[in-house]
Amino acid sequence: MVTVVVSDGVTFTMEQDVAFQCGLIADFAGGGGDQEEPIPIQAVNSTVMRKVIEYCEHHRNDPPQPEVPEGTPLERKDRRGRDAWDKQFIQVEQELLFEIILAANYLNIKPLLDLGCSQVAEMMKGKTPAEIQQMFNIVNGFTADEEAQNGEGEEKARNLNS
Amino acid sequence: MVETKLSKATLRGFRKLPDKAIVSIFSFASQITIQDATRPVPFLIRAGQVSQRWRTIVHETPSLWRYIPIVDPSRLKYPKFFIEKSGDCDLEVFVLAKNAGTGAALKTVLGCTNRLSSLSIRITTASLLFVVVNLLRDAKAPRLKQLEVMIDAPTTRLGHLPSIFTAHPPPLRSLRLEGSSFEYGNSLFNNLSFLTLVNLPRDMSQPSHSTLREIFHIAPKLRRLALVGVVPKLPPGVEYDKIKAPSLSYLHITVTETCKVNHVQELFTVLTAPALRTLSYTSDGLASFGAFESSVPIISSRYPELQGLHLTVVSNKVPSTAPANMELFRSFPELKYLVLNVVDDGFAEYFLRAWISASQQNDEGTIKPWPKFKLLTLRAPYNDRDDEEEQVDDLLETLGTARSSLGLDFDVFEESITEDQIRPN
Repeated sequence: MVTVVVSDGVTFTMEQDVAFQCGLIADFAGGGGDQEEPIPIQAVNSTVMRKVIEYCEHHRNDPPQPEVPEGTPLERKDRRGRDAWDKQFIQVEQELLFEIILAANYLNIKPLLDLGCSQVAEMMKGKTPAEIQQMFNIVNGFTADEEAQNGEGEEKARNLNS
Repeated sequence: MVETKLSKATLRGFRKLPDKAIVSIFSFASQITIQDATRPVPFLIRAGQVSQRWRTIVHETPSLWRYIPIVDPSRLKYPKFFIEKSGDCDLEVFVLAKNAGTGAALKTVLGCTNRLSSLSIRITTASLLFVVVNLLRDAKAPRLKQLEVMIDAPTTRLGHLPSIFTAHPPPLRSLRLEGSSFEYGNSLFNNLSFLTLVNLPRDMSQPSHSTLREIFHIAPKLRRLALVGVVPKLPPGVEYDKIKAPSLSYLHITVTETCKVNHVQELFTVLTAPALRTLSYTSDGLASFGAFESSVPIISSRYPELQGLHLTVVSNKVPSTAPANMELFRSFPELKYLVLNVVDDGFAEYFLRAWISASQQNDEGTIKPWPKFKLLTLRAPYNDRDDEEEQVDDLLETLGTARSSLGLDFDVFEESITEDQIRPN
């Protein structure tokens, strides 16, 4: 068993095959047996850690994923449709979605990082820059000149290169 | 108040994302939109207009520019820009061949074929098809691993297309042919791991036994085969040789109502695939689903190690009686996962009732249904009804109880979907 303590002081105890899907925990534990001391995970709170553990428990028996995605682009797109469980798992509020991405990045869980990133990508599909800004509450930071260059259409896009 | 709080949190969350995660998001977005012909401005260009930070990331990451959509071949400024920005990265290109600019667009792409790792071409007319094939005939693409040639609704007779990459066959791993076909002796097939055949040209008959044998002979490493609207023609009454598919671990087959039941049965009879672990079967009506049900004894004896079964039924008609053959639930001792996609709740109910019945027949000596089963993924419309009949959720509960009484695991994941979401292409 592996025990971790997260930023808000909550401890979680997991079986090793669940915990070791987190590269950070596997590195910390050194691949050895049971840990006596809880491993501190300061960058993740208990709400997010619960989601992470839920994901790792569901995927504990998955075979390793290939480094390079296999199949033709259309087949890969199909698979990015993800299995139904993953799709539902990642249907969360934006705030939590970003927290999951951050946690997956920090804990080094590539499949979960990919799942979160692909969900954000799906949300941006077919959106204009203005719609994306609004959806994610992004302040663009462009100067007035840069702003004038932006917009839909090839002519404006070409200015990016100047 | 709540909205303000969420917005602030979202802003904080997005700002905290490291560049690595944003690059990953852009990479996914570029891939999922590469074949989107409805947006003439590529995703990456639009992303560069969202914020200063995004623009910097986009312009400082050559690997993001490797996904090149050419949805309007008459306008080549974007593709040239993408090729230049992508540095030395491998390229993944989609070409929508739809106008006279197609030849020029392909020449631009073929100008850097040494970097080409994936090429998808969707062709809208037969005349453009021959422009494409002519350009690819003598092309050289030493790193090309994935190729898709998709022809939309060909109205003319096409037959087998002339060979492409004749002098320098690329090391293809994945090939998808949609509405098109090449001679299977073609060296394109030699190293394939993934092969997808979707709807042959209208003037071509379904592949024969010898064609299927040829595919596995020239592509012995084939691990995944998907046949959509393509069912080998194997009339009964002939003693066919077994076809060895030593590496095949995933087989998908989409069977239409016009397909003959015994051809499906013969396919499972002749295909020797000891590594097969997942079978995916899509039917567009009761007759084609019946072809699956009647093939169960063959499938279970030929592929006893099957661990995953994906059944999709795109039919609004529901069988009026329980399946005659309950063997489905007593076969496949290694089965762990079942994915059931239906467009009518009635079909899910029909299937679950049979499963419950098999689970409740617990006579001594009978085999427990699917002892290693772990997860049912059930996608259905889940429409509310007013009648007194047990509905999907009630049946799932009954099934869970029945399995539990046998000491067997049962977990279910449900998703509500519409017909469009599961209708095969």
